[in-house]
Amino acid sequence: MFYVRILIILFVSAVMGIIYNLVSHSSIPFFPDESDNYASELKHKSENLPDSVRWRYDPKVIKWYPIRADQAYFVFEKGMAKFVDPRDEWDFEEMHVKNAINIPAYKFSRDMVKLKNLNKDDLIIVYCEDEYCDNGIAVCDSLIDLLYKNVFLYKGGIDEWQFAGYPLEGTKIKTNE
Amino acid sequence: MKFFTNKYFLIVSKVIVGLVFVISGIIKISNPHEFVEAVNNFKMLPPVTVNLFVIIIPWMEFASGLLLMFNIFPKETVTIITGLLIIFTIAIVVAMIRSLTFSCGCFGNIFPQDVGFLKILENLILLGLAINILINTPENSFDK
Repeated sequence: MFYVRILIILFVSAVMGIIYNLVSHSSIPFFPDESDNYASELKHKSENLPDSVRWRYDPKVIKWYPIRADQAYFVFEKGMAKFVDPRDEWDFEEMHVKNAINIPAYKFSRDMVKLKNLNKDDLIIVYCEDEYCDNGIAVCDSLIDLLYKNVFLYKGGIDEWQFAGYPLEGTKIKTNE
Repeated sequence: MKFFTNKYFLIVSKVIVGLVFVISGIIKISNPHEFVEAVNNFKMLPPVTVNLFVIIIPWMEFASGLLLMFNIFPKETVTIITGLLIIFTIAIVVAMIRSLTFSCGCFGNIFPQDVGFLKILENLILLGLAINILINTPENSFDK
């Protein structure tokens, strides 16, 4: 009877949890969708913070994750992620990851119109010039402050992306063609 | 040793352990998104199972805590609570071994607590109280 009672308590709790989740306004999906799922997988696989940023930041307050070029390209191809370019407008116009959104770090504010293109649950990949560029980190931190859940920093940046031959657009690209 | 078997000590223990679990459960139930993040930070569960864990576990905490506080099925509920405490403590130890540093999400962001020795100590005290209740509570105490 002892174990039966335990099972009953556990079963009733589970049923209550499921029912509450169905009716609650803050419910979550029973199983994460593809981009959520991949975001979680990426977080699992995420390497430790790069040396270039570790020395400046307390790891306890960093909530974004580093992402590698192949991982960034995978989600780019699948259309699962939104790319955010934190560089200045003129750099962005010259060359950026295809379909990226330009949110210059120096202009970042919570009221920016461009932020309306990003949902809190979106898989967001922020990239900058290269791994020594601070703007990417600044925008990652700002997005986290605004409660965006899945923010990743592609530290290789536009330089690595271009070197890998991944899709780019911009005035510089057009003239090269 | 008599102190630990004292009737009033056991009542106070049940209220403390029960209350901790009720509060912890309510906070997690009220903000599942925050708890999803906390569980993901531990990097222990396969991503596909995280949401189910987040939906069900806080209700187990809440229900067992509430029943224990009111001395309803104390032996059964404290067994569940002991199991949960063991699982939570192992998760924290593993996170520490893997040098992961983050807020454990044990009480959401209302009472943020970092993964660390203090959290383990707190869990061990609760575990001690729970095991003491488990040992000194007759199986059918509710029926008496």
